[in-house]
Amino acid sequence: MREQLTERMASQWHPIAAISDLHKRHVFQTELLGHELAVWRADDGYVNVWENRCLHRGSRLSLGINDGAELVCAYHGWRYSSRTAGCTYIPAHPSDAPAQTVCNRVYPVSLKYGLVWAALDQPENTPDIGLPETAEPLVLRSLLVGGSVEAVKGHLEIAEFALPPRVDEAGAEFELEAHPSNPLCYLNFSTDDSVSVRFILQPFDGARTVVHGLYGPALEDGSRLPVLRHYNTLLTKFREAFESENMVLAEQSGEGFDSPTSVGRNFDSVVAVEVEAEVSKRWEVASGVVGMELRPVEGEFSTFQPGAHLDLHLPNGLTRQYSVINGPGEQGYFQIGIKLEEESRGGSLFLHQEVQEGDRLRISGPHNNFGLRRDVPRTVLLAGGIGVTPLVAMAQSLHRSDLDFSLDYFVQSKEHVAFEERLDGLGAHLQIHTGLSPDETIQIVKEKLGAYDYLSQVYCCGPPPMISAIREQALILGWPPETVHYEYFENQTVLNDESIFQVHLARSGLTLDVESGRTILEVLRENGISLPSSCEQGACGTCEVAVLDGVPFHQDVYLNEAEHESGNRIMTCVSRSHSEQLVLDI
Amino acid sequence: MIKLYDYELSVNCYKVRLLLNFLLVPHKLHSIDFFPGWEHKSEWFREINPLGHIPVIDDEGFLLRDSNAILIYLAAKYDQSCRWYPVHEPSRLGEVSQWMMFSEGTTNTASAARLHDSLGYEFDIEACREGAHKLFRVLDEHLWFQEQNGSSWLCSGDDPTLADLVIFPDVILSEEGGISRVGYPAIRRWADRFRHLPDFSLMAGVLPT
Amino acid sequence: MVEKRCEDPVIRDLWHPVAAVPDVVDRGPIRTQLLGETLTVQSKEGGDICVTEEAVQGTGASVDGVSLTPTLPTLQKFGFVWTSLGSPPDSLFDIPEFQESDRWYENSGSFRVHTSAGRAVENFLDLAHFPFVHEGYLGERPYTEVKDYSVATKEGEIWANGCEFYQPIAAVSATEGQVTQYSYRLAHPFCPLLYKTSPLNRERFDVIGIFVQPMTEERACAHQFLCLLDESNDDATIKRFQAVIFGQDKPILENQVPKRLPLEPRAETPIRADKTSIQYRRWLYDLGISYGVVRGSSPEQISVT
Repeated sequence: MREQLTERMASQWHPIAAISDLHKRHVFQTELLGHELAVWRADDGYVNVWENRCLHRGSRLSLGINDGAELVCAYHGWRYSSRTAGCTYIPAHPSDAPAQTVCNRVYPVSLKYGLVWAALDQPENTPDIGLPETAEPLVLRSLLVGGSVEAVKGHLEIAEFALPPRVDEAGAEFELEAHPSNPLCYLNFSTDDSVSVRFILQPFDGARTVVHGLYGPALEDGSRLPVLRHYNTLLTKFREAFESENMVLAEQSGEGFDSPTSVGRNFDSVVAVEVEAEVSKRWEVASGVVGMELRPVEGEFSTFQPGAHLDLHLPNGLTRQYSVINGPGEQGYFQIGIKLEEESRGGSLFLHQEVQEGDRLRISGPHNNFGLRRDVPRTVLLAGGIGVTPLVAMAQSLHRSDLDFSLDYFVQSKEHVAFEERLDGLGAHLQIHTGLSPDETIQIVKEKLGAYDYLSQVYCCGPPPMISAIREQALILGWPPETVHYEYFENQTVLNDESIFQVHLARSGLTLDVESGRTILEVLRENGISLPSSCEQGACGTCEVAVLDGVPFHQDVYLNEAEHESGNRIMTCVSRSHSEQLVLDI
Repeated sequence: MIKLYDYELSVNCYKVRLLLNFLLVPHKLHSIDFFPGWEHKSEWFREINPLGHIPVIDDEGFLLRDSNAILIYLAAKYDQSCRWYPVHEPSRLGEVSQWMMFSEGTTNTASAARLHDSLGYEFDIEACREGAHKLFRVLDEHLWFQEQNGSSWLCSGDDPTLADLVIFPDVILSEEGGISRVGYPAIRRWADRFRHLPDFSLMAGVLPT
Repeated sequence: MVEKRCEDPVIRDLWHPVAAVPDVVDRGPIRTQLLGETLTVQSKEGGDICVTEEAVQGTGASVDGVSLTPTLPTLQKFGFVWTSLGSPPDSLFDIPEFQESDRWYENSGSFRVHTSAGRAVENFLDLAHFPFVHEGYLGERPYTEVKDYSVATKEGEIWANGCEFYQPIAAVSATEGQVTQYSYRLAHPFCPLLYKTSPLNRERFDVIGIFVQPMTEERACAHQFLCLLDESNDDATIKRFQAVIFGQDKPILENQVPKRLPLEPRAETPIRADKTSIQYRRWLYDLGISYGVVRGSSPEQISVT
């Protein structure tokens, strides 16, 4: 019986906070049906309801910092993006993009009637408490009561809650009635029906319940306080009655519970499959450059990191890469900039000429081969022309994290400056240089780089001759190669055939090639073989597979020396093969 | 220069450090080996404070003990704006004093629970926790209604006062004594606001926000 | 909350620290908890220290209404009193540096923390949190990278070698930031030691450690000690440094969910920087430890589905 109730409650909307509880940059902490929640509003207004637990070491995220776009864990500084709760940065490994599987649990959320509503499983409807959709009632002060939701229901059914004196001159008391379609909502009306009060119960955990209250219609500023005080007094008395029975304060009663001893995690493989996206906006960004905003047709996009790009799979069979220019936490859509290439073979030309707002495109990604380290005091960003796109994302991220950086943007003329509205926010970090000759450009690059000081990194993106010149200068100025990061705007990945090996799958009989730059795990997934994974760094042991034949080239830290020696299992996310073929037990 | 006889993990010492830092008063810390050395009970320290308590300040030879007394002295002497201790505004001064009295309660309950859980002091832990929760309820309710009135702090007016400063340490460290703040959303927001004040200083156990 | 009795034979047979010797001598008797049992630690005439188990009503034997308080095996080492609820080995591990005459040894406090012993040990082994939790002391942003290091098992101990981290003030005697070299040693499931470059002599190491007493499954007491080459600093300054470090870790440790250390690697998300803790968790699993941990399914049983 109890289990059934819990099950039903899991897919129902429950109020978990007042919207006004979510102050700017605050992390609100509560529980729903025993699940600890961290609730926070991003600066763009999006309200996130997450499991209150960092995936890494189980730290409560409510201790962390809401930076307006991402929630940063207090323990190791892992950053999680608003909306998706995907991890965007792991400071201990600044050059590695976190795996897409490192994604916190997000709960369904709805904002209605001044309250934040959440559910454990996605409910079918919107929150229903018998109020018109547009109602904006006065939100009363909620109280945590030390009783299970059933016990509190029992008490509310017999409670008598007087309306505020001025509303009901007679001062009559009314019994509360359960709402016909929502058994956790109790109603009370004034005699003339002009005023209604609703109490909605939030099942906090097995022993505690939060009583939320709504008073309608909304009141003028001056008359709100007496009503708020009136109900606060009533609810406080209601709570006291409870406590005199149970002999324990609500806030204390949770202390006796053992902390949960197991935690769920979803290890379903997140495969970088193609998804459908709609062009939700298309605009002229600069001379010869079109901006496009893509929104997912279904669900959410995967989490992006600064420097990441999307693959656009065009109907004409071509695939083109475009960098995501979004700032941190901007996950509801992706924006890209497309320059019409003079010698277009049908990629940019198609996008410029054929694609309109409302059209759909198939995309995959985001992928990140141009990750942004954030472990140096100074980052130099150098952009040439449309090569600015990944650096726009990086600059916004550095700016948000209060890290020092400069962005020098070299363009032909003012008309060629793209994404000005985003660049404007960077203030003095940004310098735009127009119409410089290659020599003049290099002169500025030299000044910007200066002699290597052990405290800097440089990122550059632009036309190949410019990147080559920057790399050359950096070398002359003593910058070690690992501090000079670049992405050619044209994708020029060359596969190293020599490191190709094969995996033969004993159970299914498949033989697959694993090329340089790919992992066994990726290749398996692309061929429809689902394998659970978690850290994708060779640290957690989740993607382990038994090796039947061949000599593994271990690159994990999970197995110990003896296990590496024996060679009979392998972490498919990082390890490779010394022999031409590995036979795996799958 | 002011010398503060100090122990990093003491809430009462933290109150004094907070104000010295807010007021940008130059000072030096004399660390007392409170735990495990019990130096505050040593003979030499009892010469300074016969009660064997910290904090004590030595302002060019003027010795003062008890955190509330020290705070009032420092505010009166070094806070030209009279922001922290509004001596010229009787009603606000009354409010500040009222909450400073209240803080004796939070220190004797919430901070006592912390000493029990952390350093093994022999207190009736359940009584400490219950007492702290009762006071936190009063605090949360007051702060919630202050927010409704558009006020951010314990006392009326736009600025924080010693009232906020003396209660903040007991509150922010309460979870070390097993006193969760999950049921006190208004307290949690107020603690965020306090930590965002300019020249706010952390102590070990207080996280930035 | 009534603690259930610890039935874990591995943990019962270990030596556990229960008090610092000077605390017992100067301020004893000390009441404390070990594996959920209440103990009294007190000094006897002649300088011996004895540990007795407080009989729990209904469980202790009694003769003529007087409860028998069994005396537990006791030894004193490294300035602490150690005891065991089972049949402990003849001796406790050694710390050779402890014998070196030019070192300064001190217990710097026994601090209680509301988490399992395993969580406390793992935090001690962790480098990556320095710039976040101990900013300005053991780490400084943006220097957050954990470079690769090696972990090996030798003679029943876990060693992590070649750890490096940039630190603003690695120790009280340091005056500026430096890249500090570390090694970690786990000589006992709850006794992690840290060897780090001495600011005074870069050829030698300071030894710092915690001996963690599992009071219950979810409460621990970390007995800190230092074995340093540093002579210049006074006692109170060093103890303050240690208290700061502990105080900074405490809210982090007490806000990990679950409090018991999950041994199933998939329960959390380790990364390469966590190499030592990965081996630590596997070691506890292989030792068969069940107290204060969440065993989950065997790491060996993870199979492809």
